[in-house]
Amino acid sequence: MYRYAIKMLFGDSAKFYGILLGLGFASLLIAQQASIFVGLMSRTFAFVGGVGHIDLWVFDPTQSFVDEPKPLRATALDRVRGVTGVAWAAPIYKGLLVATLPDGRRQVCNVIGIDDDTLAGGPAVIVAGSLSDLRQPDAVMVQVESSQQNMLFPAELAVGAMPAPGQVLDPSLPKRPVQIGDIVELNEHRARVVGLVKCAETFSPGPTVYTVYSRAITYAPPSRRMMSAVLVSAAEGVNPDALAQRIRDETGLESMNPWDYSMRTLGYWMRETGIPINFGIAIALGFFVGVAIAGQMFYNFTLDNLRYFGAFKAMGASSRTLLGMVALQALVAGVLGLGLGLGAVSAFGLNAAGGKLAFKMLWQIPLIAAGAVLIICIFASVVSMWKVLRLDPADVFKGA
Amino acid sequence: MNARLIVLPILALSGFVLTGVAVAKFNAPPKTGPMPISPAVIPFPDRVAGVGVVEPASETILIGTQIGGIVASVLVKEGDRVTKGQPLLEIDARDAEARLASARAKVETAKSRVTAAELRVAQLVARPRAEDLAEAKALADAREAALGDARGRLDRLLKVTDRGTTANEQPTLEFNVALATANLADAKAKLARVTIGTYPEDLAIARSDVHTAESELAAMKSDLALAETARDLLIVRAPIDATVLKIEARPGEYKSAGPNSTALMRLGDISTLHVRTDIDELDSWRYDSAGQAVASIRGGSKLQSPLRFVRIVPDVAPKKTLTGENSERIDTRVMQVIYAFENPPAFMQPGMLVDVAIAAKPSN
Repeated sequence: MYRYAIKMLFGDSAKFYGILLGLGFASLLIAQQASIFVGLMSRTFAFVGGVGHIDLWVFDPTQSFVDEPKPLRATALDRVRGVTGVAWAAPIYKGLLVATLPDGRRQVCNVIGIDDDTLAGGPAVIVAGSLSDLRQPDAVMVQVESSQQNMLFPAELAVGAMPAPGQVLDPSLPKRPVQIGDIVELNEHRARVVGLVKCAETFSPGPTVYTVYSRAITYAPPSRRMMSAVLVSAAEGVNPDALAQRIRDETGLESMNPWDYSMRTLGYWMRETGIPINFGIAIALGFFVGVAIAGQMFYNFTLDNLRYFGAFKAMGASSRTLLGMVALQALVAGVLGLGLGLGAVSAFGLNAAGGKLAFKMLWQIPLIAAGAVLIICIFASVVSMWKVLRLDPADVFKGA
Repeated sequence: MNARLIVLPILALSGFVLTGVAVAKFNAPPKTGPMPISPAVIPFPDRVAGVGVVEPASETILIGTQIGGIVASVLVKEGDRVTKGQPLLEIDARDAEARLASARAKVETAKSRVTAAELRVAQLVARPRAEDLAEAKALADAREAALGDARGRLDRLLKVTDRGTTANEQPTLEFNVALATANLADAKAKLARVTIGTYPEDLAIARSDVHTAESELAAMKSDLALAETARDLLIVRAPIDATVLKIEARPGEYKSAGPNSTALMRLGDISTLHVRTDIDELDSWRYDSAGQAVASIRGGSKLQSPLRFVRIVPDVAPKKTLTGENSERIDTRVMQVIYAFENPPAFMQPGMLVDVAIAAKPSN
């Protein structure tokens, strides 16, 4: 009997494709928009996740997200080092500074100053150079292969060369990517590129530039407070959360593990910006489009096949069997549609993500899409089942 | 229809597989940077921490000059060990030398004046001289003889009764007697004066002249001492036994005296190295001067050096940065504590920064 249900489903190709399109499109829209949303939002705290091998962040209690400039006093580092249970602590600087390129173009850079001693908070992948090269004079490492604007140099300018006095480079000339040895001006200070790195894509535009803390604060405009945060490594056997509490109590500063700090940052963007609403609307639209197309198509399909159901009923099939047939049809259409939709999203994401596209498919997203498709299918089949149940077999044979 | 029955499920299945791949990829933990170079473990859990700057036990002495001028020669090199009083540097001394020569000449002049005045006194004290007495006596004797002669002539005339024409000679002879008498009186007075020798007043005047000349000499001598001191002040000397840390004067440079002048050189006794450690005033209640202290060397080293407590600077001051920033940023007050290195690493130099940890009272 259920074989006929499948035959019935596959038999009407126009409606069958319509149902698949609706369900596939719904799951595609839901999964894709959700993935882009998650990808975009995870960029807000990607920097925190990229700083590995530490247990706690210490920052200003009023700081609501990682990019917010609320620096600490210089002695905060010593005070944190004085807290029982801290193995070591390192300062970190994070700020936006303007780089001037040899052809006069200006580019905002995300400058990270990592501790001179421990080099804690370094970039995820070093493409060229060595992290300890940062200890050389004027040394910086620049992010490359970034989705954000790469730091581009005039192609005609040799590596490490500066324009001759009086030489004016046309900013519209062809460009080449930054290379080791290039000289760039960071906030009116000379900076020499000693390495190329890859690091997590961040929310703020512009390439990320790594240097050591002591140099970063000379690049930064003068201010009484410069230290963006303190990175803490807990001593062996010390529970980081208990240590965080102790740091809070003793220094009056906020202290969190990287995950909590990420979530605090995420919470700020979720609360204070329109991004969740915009994406929420897109995801809801996907859901309703799915309901509208697939539900309506499925209902039409059931209506068209009512006579077969009538015939089955006349042949003595129980209502339970008929309902099972409808449910099976909905389930098969749902699974196929979901598979096609998710497959399309995954293919798209695997190919396009990491570039300018922020895409991150958490494991929850396919489940959410599946749930949405399930709801659509249930909705469509319930409406159709109601029609099947009320069917009088006699009607089927009555007229054309 | 059969093809559709096979193709679509395969497509859907591969869609699910692809989703699995994507989920696996996107749920991987984020890539993190290289392992930080953890510094050496502090051997005590309860502690206060601070940044310390290495300085000589004597603190750094900024050598100044009392008199401004052009640097003539620098007599030491950076790193030299110098003893107390050793000349370090000389400022151009031509002017001072000329003044010194002039002062010396004046002293010589004054000395000869004293000698002259003293000789004059000796001259006066030596009177009456025997020769002078003999001379005066002889004169008196001669005058007396002359008077006897004149009297004799007059007596002989008066004994002649018939004077005749000689009667006219009587007044002449009387005059001669009178003249001889006066001459004798004059010679006797002279003899008397020579016999007295020097009058006390004259001697007093001569003695006073000696005194004046001596005073002048003393004044000239102190002028000379002044010139000598002025000359000596142009030689800058080491105030203590120390090491030359930095020379900031080169021959030909003008160096001025005064509070706003720059140092000529920096000296310090580096036989013992101290660490001036800043401790946030908010941590001061936990600080314990009896606590064990170590200095961690910066730059990724695992080196630690034990410290010995020396003193607390009893003046909590605004933090003057020790972190090598481009400008001083004062945003807190710090207690300064001085520690001494028990056994400093050979490369340790004044001015280096170290991270200091001091065992402290546990916080609550």
